[in-house]
Amino acid sequence: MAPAASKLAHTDDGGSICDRLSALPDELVLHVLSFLQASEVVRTSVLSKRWKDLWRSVLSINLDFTDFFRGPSEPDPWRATWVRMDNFVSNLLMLHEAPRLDAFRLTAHNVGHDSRRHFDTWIRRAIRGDPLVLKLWMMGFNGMDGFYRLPYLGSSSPCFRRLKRLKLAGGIVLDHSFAQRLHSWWPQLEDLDLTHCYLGFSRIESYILKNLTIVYCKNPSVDGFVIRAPGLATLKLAICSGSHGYRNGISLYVGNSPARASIKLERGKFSPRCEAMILGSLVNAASLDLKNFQAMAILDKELFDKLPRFNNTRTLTLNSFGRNSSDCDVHNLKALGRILQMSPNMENLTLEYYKVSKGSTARKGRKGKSKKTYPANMVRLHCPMLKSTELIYYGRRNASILALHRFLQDICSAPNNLIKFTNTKYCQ
Amino acid sequence: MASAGSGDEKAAAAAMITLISSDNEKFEVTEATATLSQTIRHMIEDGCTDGGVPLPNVTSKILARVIEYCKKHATAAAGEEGSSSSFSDAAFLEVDRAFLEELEEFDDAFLEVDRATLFDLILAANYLDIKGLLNLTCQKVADSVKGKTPEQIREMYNIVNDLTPEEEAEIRRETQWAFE
Repeated sequence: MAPAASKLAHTDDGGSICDRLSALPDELVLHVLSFLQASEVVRTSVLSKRWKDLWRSVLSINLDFTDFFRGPSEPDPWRATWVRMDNFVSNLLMLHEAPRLDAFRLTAHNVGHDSRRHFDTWIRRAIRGDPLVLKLWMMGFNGMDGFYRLPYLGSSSPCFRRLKRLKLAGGIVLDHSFAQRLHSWWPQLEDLDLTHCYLGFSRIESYILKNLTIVYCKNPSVDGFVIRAPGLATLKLAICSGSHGYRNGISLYVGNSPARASIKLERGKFSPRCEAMILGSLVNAASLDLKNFQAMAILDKELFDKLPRFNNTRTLTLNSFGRNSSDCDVHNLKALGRILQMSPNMENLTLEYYKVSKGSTARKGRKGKSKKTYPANMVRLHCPMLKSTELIYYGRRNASILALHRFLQDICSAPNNLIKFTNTKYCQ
Repeated sequence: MASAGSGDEKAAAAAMITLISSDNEKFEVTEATATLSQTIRHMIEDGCTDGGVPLPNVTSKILARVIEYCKKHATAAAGEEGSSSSFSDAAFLEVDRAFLEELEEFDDAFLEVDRATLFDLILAANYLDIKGLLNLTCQKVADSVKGKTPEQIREMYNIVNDLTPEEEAEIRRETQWAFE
């Protein structure tokens, strides 16, 4: 009954009396430890003889500032936290013995001038371990207190080439040399996530990236941004509001286009034409999440109408189109209709805080005439695949949401569609 | 229990693989399910799966659970058009919430096992080289020791402290920077 090859005693009833954890081979114990914070890993050294030195070989180092915080009651808690963290990391990196790292994850907090120098040392040390995963979240560098400039990743670390996933967040400054590295230095880099960084380049080019996230990054010096990444499966972009760059918009060269795309624009920043071009790069996406687009981008006859259909699109999330012209309600509905018309295989539609005024869809008289009260040229839509529509709103279920509901019922022929209302006021 | 994959009509046309547990029970699964295991994938590539794949390190009880995991995650992967990357990495990105939530719920329920089974699953995932399952199960063990003192961890996992008080004091002195 018992497996011949397993030397371990089995207690099928769950009453494990033996030490199954210590009995795991080293590589598996180390794998378990890789999910813990570094301080917890080191503290396993006193468990037993078996554990005494295991921590020195752990392949993932996870460091988080908050892990060293002991509460607000001690004097100067930030400083004290920093002193503890600095002492810990210096010791750990000195005594750690694994020649290579699988992952290095650091959440650090700016506590003044000298901390920056220490971060540099830690990160350089991590890079020498040639990690597969590098994740840096530098808090407290928000421009006013200065930026954090990554130590040069260049020739001093010739072996830093295994990188597969890179996430940089906080006030990290990335310059031209970073963009060059993306293009040519990391042959296996699949996931790149830049959040709240300061970008000093206008182009990202990679033929291997699978997942790209660039959200709320500042890029003041450039007029336009180009992303050339034909192998993407997922693309997530969010334009930082109030940023000055990108006057000429964003150009996407994403080949057959990613399967999932989430694009959040800043309202009214780009021309309708530029937004239409962004949509045009995403025609093959199965899942689209579009925020702050303007209706006119979709109603652009020159461009949007000439796009191929969004035949693959199954899931779409939209928020309200811009509301800066007097007839925008009409445009809003027209644009929504146009998108539905262009996406014959749509299954799930989510409309967030979608605004239409009551007047634009008010029925005059009897049902048969109702079509005429919609915007001119509004044809009846056929959405045979549509099975769920979620209308997300906040607060009272106002005229706007009801008007939208009626619009969907009247204009859209979707026999299997289930319309659901979600009030975010009562969520969570 | 004899043929875990037989109810899967959709995949009936697909190639089937027979897995044989240490206690000689046979499980028939689709190739898509089986190849979540890199070990089995290599065997298929080498063409040595005729007559079944013997897995002398895995009992039928554990193999049934492993197959349950692979089936769910293989379906998930198949539903993912245009993306061949592993879904164990999905936490890195915030994509398609509903889809991920469903998988997460499955994983949570899947992990509701006694500790002995959990360790058997770790060993099986390692032997079969199923990265997602290995991460899932090791993470579960890691979560269980999070925030615990060494004494609590020892008690929890029946770890016998074979260090003399002097040795333990010495280690604590050397790694004092981790105990502050």
